[in-house]
Amino acid sequence: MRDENALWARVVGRNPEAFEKFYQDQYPRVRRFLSICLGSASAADDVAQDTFMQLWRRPQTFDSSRSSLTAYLLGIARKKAADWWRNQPRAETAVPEARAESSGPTLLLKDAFEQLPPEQQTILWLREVEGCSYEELTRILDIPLGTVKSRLFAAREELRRVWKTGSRGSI
Amino acid sequence: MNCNEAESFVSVLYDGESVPLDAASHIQGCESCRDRLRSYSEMGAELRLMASGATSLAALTPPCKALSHHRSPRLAFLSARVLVPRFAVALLLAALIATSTTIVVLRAQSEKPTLWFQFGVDLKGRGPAWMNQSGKTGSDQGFVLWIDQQVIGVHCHVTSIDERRVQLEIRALKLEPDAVRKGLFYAERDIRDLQDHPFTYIVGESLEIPVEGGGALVLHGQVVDHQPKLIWGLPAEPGSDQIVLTSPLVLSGQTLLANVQGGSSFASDRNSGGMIYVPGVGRIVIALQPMPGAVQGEANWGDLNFTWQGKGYTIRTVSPITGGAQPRTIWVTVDSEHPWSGGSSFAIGTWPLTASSPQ
Repeated sequence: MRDENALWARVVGRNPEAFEKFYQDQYPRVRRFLSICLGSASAADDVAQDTFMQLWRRPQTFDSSRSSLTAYLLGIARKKAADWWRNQPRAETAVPEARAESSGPTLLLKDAFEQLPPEQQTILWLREVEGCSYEELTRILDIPLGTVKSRLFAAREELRRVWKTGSRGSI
Repeated sequence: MNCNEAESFVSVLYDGESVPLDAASHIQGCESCRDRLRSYSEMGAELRLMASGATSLAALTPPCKALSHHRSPRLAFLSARVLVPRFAVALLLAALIATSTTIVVLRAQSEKPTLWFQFGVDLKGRGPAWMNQSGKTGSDQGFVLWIDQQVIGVHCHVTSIDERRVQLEIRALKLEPDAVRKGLFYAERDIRDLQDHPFTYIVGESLEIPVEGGGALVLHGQVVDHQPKLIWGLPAEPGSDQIVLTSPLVLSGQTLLANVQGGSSFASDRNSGGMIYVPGVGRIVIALQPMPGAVQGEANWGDLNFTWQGKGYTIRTVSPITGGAQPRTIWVTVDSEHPWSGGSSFAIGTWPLTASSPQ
């Protein structure tokens, strides 16, 4: 944490090398998260660049007393992803791009996961893969604690149902 | 409380948060809610497996557009127009192709998963504690140990984690024996007023922590690249050399032979197995390798099925029984002649696979 704060202090001081290091460390995580939100690798690349662009322009907006840097970064990425969706023509939706083949139960769960709505994929990914706490989820997703709990429950139930039955139910 | 009222708490419980007592009581005794908890555990593990696959297939990190105007002068040639002979272009392309594999490997290694510290503490002089606590950088854990008539409150802040060492700030206070009865609020208040002491934990070693008021604790732990999943202090994702039995049911067909509600067992390596004593059946020992007189069974996440003397048995637990690819072979013995001092009571524990007495 102290290392992170020291690095960020250099970024706030407009040090390009410090920001480059931060970018190299965090880009894969942000891109992976955005791929889940957007279902498109190319869109994820574009929105990830926008996310880092905003951070570099206004680094002083991060308040370490309110959240971790990762939570703040993913929060910006989530808002950028929402903007991206708003700007898409209504008739067109992003089609998830083909991913590598795998075998066994992972393939089945992957299929089930990809059938979930993006907001359910997002909260499950942040919790199970990124290990975000409830508090971090409230900040990243900008929702109250009770909603975090209820959305996590709904997402798990939907994934469980799709995984076990092989099809999505009505919501 | 019924299933409809309790089901949302299963999700909260799975996340390691506390739930109301009536919800916990219902979940503990309800097969449907336990099945839901098992599913969540399986889904979490599968999602992390999926993420691991995605990591290895991740694309190269492109240049940062935000810094496009801040390239250092010595790198300016990358964006400048330069006339280059054709043979030089061909050589450059050949070199790029030859080194592309190396670049991919280096980039893959630059992916940094969030590191977690999983640890346990016990009184100095006792055996290694179960690693039933976990935290990532910046997190705080507070807990009360109640061992051998001693009550010790502990607060642990994880300052930083890398693969080999963990920086911690810890306060430990010996509490009055009736602290648990009085309530943990008072323990938290007393611990809060103490000063943090910095410690460095070296992975693979033990760390001694002095306790304010007398005595010492010993901490040991491990660094992992994902959030450890713990259910009631036991690993929800046991390793492939571990056996966990959490609140198991023992069934034969549709007949419930035993409901060891609240009982648990953790065999942390292959030197011991899981043990359940069921009156009328005998002592059941479960191991990951062959034992004299053992039959082969099959563990499939929270279910273990085996046949003994022509009769089929199922042991069903709240979390996966062992790790590794499922289903997997497991060995079971049943000693129906085993004299048990417990008489008509159930018993659960671990069983040393080289000796003959329970641990």
